[in-house]
Amino acid sequence: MALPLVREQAAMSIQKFTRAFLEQGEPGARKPGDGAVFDDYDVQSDSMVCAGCSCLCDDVSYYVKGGRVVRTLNLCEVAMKRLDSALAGDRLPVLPSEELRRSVEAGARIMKGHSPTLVIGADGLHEAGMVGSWELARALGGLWLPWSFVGMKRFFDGVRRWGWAGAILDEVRDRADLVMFWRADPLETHHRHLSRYSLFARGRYTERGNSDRNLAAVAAGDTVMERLCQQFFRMAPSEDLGLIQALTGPNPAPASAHRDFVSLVKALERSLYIALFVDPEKVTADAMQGILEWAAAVNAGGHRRMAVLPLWGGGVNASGFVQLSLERNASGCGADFSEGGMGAVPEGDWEDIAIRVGSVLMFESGPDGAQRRRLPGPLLGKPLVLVTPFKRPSLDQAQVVIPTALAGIEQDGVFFRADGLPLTAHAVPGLACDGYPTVEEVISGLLREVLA
Amino acid sequence: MSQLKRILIKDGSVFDPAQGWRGERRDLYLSGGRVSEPFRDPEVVIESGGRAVLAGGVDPHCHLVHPGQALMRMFGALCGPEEIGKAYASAGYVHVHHPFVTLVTAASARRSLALVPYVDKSYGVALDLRDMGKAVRGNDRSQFAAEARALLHLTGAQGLFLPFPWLRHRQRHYIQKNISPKKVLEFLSALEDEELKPVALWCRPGVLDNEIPRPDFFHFTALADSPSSDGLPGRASGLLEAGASADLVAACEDDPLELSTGQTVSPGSISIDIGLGEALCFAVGGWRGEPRSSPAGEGTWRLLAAAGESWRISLCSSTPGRVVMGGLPRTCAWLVSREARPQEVDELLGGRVVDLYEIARLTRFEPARRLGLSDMGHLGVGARANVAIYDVRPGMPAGELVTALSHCWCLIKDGVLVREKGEFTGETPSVTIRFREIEADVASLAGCDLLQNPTLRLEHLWRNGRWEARAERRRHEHDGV
Repeated sequence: MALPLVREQAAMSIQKFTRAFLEQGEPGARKPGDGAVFDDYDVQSDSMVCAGCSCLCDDVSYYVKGGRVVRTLNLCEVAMKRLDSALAGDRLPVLPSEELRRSVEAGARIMKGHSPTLVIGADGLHEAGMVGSWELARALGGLWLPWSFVGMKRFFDGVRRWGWAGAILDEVRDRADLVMFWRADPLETHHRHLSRYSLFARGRYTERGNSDRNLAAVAAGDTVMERLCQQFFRMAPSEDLGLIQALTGPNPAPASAHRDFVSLVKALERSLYIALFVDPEKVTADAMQGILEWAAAVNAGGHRRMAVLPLWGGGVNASGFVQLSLERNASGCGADFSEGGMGAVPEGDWEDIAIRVGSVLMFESGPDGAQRRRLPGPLLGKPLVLVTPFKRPSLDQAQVVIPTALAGIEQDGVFFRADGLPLTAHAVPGLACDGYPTVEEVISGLLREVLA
Repeated sequence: MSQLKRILIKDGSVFDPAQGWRGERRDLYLSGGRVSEPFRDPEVVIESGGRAVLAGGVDPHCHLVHPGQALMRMFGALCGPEEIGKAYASAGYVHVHHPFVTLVTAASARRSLALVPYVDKSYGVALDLRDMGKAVRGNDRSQFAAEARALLHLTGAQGLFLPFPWLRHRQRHYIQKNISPKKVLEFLSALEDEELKPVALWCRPGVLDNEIPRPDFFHFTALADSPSSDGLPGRASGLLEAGASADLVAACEDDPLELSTGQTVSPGSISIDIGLGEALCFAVGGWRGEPRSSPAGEGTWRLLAAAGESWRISLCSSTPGRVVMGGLPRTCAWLVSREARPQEVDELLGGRVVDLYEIARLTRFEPARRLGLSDMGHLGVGARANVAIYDVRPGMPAGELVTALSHCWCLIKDGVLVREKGEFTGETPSVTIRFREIEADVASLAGCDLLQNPTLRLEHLWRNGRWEARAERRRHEHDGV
């Protein structure tokens, strides 16, 4: 989707946005179909749930022939990469049962020998895997943290101070007449977000879709989203707080010289419902606090509503991780079972964590090109056990690598949409699976060894 | 699953309004998870020694699992599901009803409710007049009834819940679609579909000021908390005399969780738009020591003082904190003992004292009847073997009475001995999410707003879909099957 930025087009009205425009000059752009009927398949499955990102699109169709997916409908680029990764020829091979047993034993040995263990990345797993990873972390006396730990902590610190106004995505689609993406770019991480929930989707009070909405965005650099926006602020994260203060100040109009500032102020004034999507990992702690304070002030007025919705860039099931963590630990961002941790969320950032932990059990967050997270720098060099359903990882330093089945493609799994609603993403019927163990089977094995 | 044993509860003082048992000493027989006719050779004999024996308690209204509610755990205002389930079992309860979900949030609620152990659960489903208002405006009762049936059928709800008996659009373009409370209440009163009865109505400001042509079609939730409390006893007694049912919230000054709806949100609170038209707000509650102009639960006490024999009223917790912190048992203790209650509560009650027979009616019989749980809330033959035994004696000191009602001496749920001699046995009873069996022709409604508006496809919202199979599997795993 990387298109050359055309500056005069950046300020275009939203009505001019068309698929043809977006795809102009793009290699492999779609051409009108020749009208032929596609019937070269064995199994057709409709209304499948995609677990490629937290949009959890539930209108996906798979066509399978000879155990292979030969056609899909409504899969976005992120989801397609996930599917491709599961079907790729260079995927990690299934471990024979004896080798799997030895790997599990070796993994458990590493974790027991280098405690406490950091269990990282459960936010990329389906619910059953997440529950298992929690139990394992507890049994190990380790830490249980998500990929988005720093952002989550930043967000919940703000929530504790300012409260939080949230919404299910149905309400955003129905009511939001102003949508802001604050350092959260759905065209990078949640491709169908704009069409299903936030910009183009038609709702109860937004019957004309994007014509009934104002879109604004704040980003660090060039992005395709810019051409969809009525207001676009390209600025460094350190400038966020200034913009927030200018927008929320008593006399905001002269407070910022940005060309779109006055336009945004006017749009805010005439909006009844503002939905602000933010990636807390990409804003500073002060800006996060500022956004939540801003929302609290708007909502205290009672005239209009402002919802702040985190668009986590980490694991696909980050909302599920938050839910599970709250249910089990009264904290939204993980747990610390290590000595002295008492279950509470650890303080500090990855560097502080790295000082404390002796080993890492890592669940990969996504395939190459789609939400794959690298191990935070300070943790490199720690003894590493890697559990992954994806293609050959680039992490050569892993002492043990255990390939698993991919939930939502090769096995059923419950995932949580960005607004916390759970949905079951089923295995694709008819797909030839090579007998990979499920992640919960691997975790059970590790748990058995740890407790032995 | 625990092995169901043939149990004899010997020599209990049994209170059951359904049978007219007012504490007479008798034996109770439980077999196959049900109350049974007398049998010989019981496998377990519980010598109750004259202790009070009641059916398992039913809480008809407790906000347990709204989206976003779990965040209140961060503020210490909400316990975990395990602790909530344990508190209910400790107080002798076997069923709790979550007041409402929406078509979209039902699956989320089912998942979260399944995590609460020891007690069965059910929930209502909210009627959203943004979707169903067209039928009200057009006075199309059959369409409205069909859509309400579809809602119950799809979500697996136990009943209907009307959070706002009006439709007020904030967007100027839509104000011609607004509907007044008078119109809504008249329309619902005229519904001929008796299977939809009762519609639970949230007693919000101004609701009781409207004429309600057919009160018996409604169940009034949080009746005593209605802000039109000037004429509350008179207005409420009129409705209750006319056959309406209601639940009253147990008093609890220390409830850590405050729940409300509204456009204006206090800073520091959690507010979530779950599809009601107004946000659901959670705030840290609890009495902070400021002088109070009136005691907590004033409306509840006043209504209980005036309660007539025919009134169908239930006592509910409203939020989990009132169970975990003992507000519900304490309210019962204050009702049965003048010595246990504070002076101001005694004045509000007019010195009225009720017996355990009345407590059984408020906390067992009426809640079960209101929820349509015909096999619960009583101890008749064939009822589910849910029995709570309390070590309550006449003239008990106040503190001991509250303790005795907060921690039952024995609890049997579905024939499984959960508590014995005041301690948990370690046995885990099976738990289910109850739902109302109702016919609905969902296919004929495919084009209506109600089914068109959700962001998810119908098959992913449907209780009978794959989600149900998973929940069932989880329950069996929980039971150890």
